[in-house]
Amino acid sequence: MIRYTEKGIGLHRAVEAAGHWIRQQNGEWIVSDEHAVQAIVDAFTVADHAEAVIDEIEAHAKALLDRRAAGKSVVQIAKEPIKAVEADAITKGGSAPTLEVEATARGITVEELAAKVRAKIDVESVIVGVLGKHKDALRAMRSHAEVQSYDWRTGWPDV
Amino acid sequence: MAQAIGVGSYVRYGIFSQDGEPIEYGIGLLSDSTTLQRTRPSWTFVSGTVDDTAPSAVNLASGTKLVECVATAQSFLPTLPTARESSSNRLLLCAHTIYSSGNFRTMVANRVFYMPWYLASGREIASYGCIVTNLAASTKIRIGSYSVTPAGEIGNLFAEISADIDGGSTGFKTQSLSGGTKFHPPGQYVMACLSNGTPQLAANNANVNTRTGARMWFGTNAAIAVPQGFCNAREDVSSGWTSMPATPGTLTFESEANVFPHILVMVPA
Repeated sequence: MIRYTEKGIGLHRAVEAAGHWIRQQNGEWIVSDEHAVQAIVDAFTVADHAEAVIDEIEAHAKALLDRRAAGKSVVQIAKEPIKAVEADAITKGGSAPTLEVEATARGITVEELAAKVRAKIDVESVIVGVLGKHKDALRAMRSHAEVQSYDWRTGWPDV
Repeated sequence: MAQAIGVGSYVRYGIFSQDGEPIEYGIGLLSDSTTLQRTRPSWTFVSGTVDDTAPSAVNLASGTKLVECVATAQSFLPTLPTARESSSNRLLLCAHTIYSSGNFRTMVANRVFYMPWYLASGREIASYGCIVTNLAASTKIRIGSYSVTPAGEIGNLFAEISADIDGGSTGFKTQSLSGGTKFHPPGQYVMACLSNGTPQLAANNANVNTRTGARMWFGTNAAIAVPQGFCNAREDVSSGWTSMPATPGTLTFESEANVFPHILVMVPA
């Protein structure tokens, strides 16, 4: 009988990646090859566990960022760096020709539009920052229990 | 016979002595070109006694017997994907098409989630299951299937697992059906899942595309993305439950983004 130790879903993926399987059937863990799977279970480190969780977090962050870009044309996306630079320039008394055209068309001031642009960038920066915070925390952990109980679903902005 | 009806089909069979005396009637499976599995004997005739109480298959004495087979209606329906049926896992399909390891549902305590499932051809089903991608300590998971009424509404509980699945550890988990392996006639079902906590469930992981035949409606192209969320029904139940509701209560229908199928079914080994 296999000695199963809880090491997260990443362990199960590692077993399958090695061409084996592990399954809890009617409450009992069964495996394709006891010795081979046991070796994988035993060799799955805390760092492996943490990286598997990080993969999930990165997928979550990517989904949030992709949602921010959903429905936009390539023209809009291509203009975003320009708008970001101009939004910053306005705070320093510089010019913002692209923002001025857009603000005029929209019927708001260029300062108001610049604030919206910065707010949007801030949200995206928060997503990337929260991702980095969780990655740092997980990579500093030294036990499977720590990794397993770590709640990475906190701190994300509403998108 | 196999050429006429097709390997993998269920048939109504009768077994007779060479004198034409009846021995057994039932429903069987043509599992290969020369094998008839007597899956569900309906009546047996032993020593002049008729047994029509779901009898076991008759232990046939040596010697030639006559066998008559008639294709059942379901034999003419499309066959189901047989991906990995030779493996020990013998997963057949999930309730929906699934694709990415990021596709999951986070359960809500004491909330039943219902989702439609179409079974193209009748099959014996041994277990229902799921993959716990994120555990919730000391939680349990219950899975069942429901019939669909002629009006298209969720009907009575059709089958459920015989014991709770542990939500307190990760991994691929299956549980036998209450009463044992059960034949599921073809048609529309509603699969349902219930937990007393918030484990995160999925119906696949990284290698599922080669394992489950889960993309039954979309062919075999692993690059086809899943629908981004789907419409389902849900119902909150009182804590302390020990089984799935016999019939659904007050349902809330919703279309959820970023929620994915999370129930697997398994054919017998």
